[in-house]
Amino acid sequence: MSQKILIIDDDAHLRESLAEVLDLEGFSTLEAGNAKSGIASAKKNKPEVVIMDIQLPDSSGFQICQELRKFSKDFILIMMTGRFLSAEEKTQGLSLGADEYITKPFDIQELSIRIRQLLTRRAR
Amino acid sequence: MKINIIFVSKDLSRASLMLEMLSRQGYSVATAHRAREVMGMLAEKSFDMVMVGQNLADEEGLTFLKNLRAKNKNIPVIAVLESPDTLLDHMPSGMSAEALLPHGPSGREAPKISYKLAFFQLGADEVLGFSQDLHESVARIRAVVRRTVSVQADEVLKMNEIELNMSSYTVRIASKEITVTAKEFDLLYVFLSSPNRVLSRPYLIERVWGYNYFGSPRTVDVHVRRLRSKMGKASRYVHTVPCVGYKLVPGAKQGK
Repeated sequence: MSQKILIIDDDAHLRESLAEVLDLEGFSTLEAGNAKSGIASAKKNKPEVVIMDIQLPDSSGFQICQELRKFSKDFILIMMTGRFLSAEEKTQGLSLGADEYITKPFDIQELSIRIRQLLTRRAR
Repeated sequence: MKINIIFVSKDLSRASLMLEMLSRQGYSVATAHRAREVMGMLAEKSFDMVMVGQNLADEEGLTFLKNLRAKNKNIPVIAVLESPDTLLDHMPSGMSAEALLPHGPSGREAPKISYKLAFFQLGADEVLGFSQDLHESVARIRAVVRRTVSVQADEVLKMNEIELNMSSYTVRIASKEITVTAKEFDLLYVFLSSPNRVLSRPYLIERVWGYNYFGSPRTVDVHVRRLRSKMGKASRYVHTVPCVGYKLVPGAKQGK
């Protein structure tokens, strides 16, 4: 069975294109347009990977990060950002349970390699 | 518990700040220049992580990682590079393009891939840059530990009437909290993590005091004695293995 990736981003275009590419890479993708539905989907579908925008209309990425990690530490959490993040912000996110940051626009090959590497480690 | 790290690089002076920061954060770091040294150290002692530079004194970091992964798939590896985003300008020895980019062009030509991605492809758990903020680097190292060390920080380890809470650093025996020192807590953690396994004194020194500890192995005996006295009846689980060390036996009967 293919591994599930949940994409949480309010930018529908980015969400759909990312899902399309990850589907082609052999993953099974789920989408959510805001924090509330993203958290609900994560709880219901238990994805192996969550990729989420750090700035969502209804919540900050750090809050969701905490919320998601409260119910599971098993999944891989990748945070997407459209702006330069300070070292303090990155450190905060990593301490709250994020596994990786990617800055938009990102290289899909790089993201794919990173996801596979994190999944390989998780499976060991 | 002490996290024991090997940091291997041709130029260790470049990593002096990071090494200092790691030791301040409580990590125990042993250093090496050559791949051969590292393989020997891994065969001899138990380490939790390997950190590797772009180049070692006897081979390239990528070649080292490929060889290490062929022998050991589990140990977490973090690469620390001068410029992680620089593209590979040659093919590291003993490697093919397919190993670095399975769907890319084949042959002896270096694929268009950055050092960072090449390290990830070969099995690195994280790639850091020397120019990266040190606090961020340490947060990333901690994230790797979180993902790879078997027991999560907020887990509770239980065995019969013994309960070890990793987030509050408390020990309860038969629901009653007992006061232990940090070292006694770490010792009990190692015991509970390896039931029925004989744990030698040098092994316990490595796990609890760290690889760089040069004190006497008898220190372990003193700490175990104190821990046993605090454990009351539950001390029956901690057995002495003559001339070797200790063993935690979950099925030990009372009165023995």
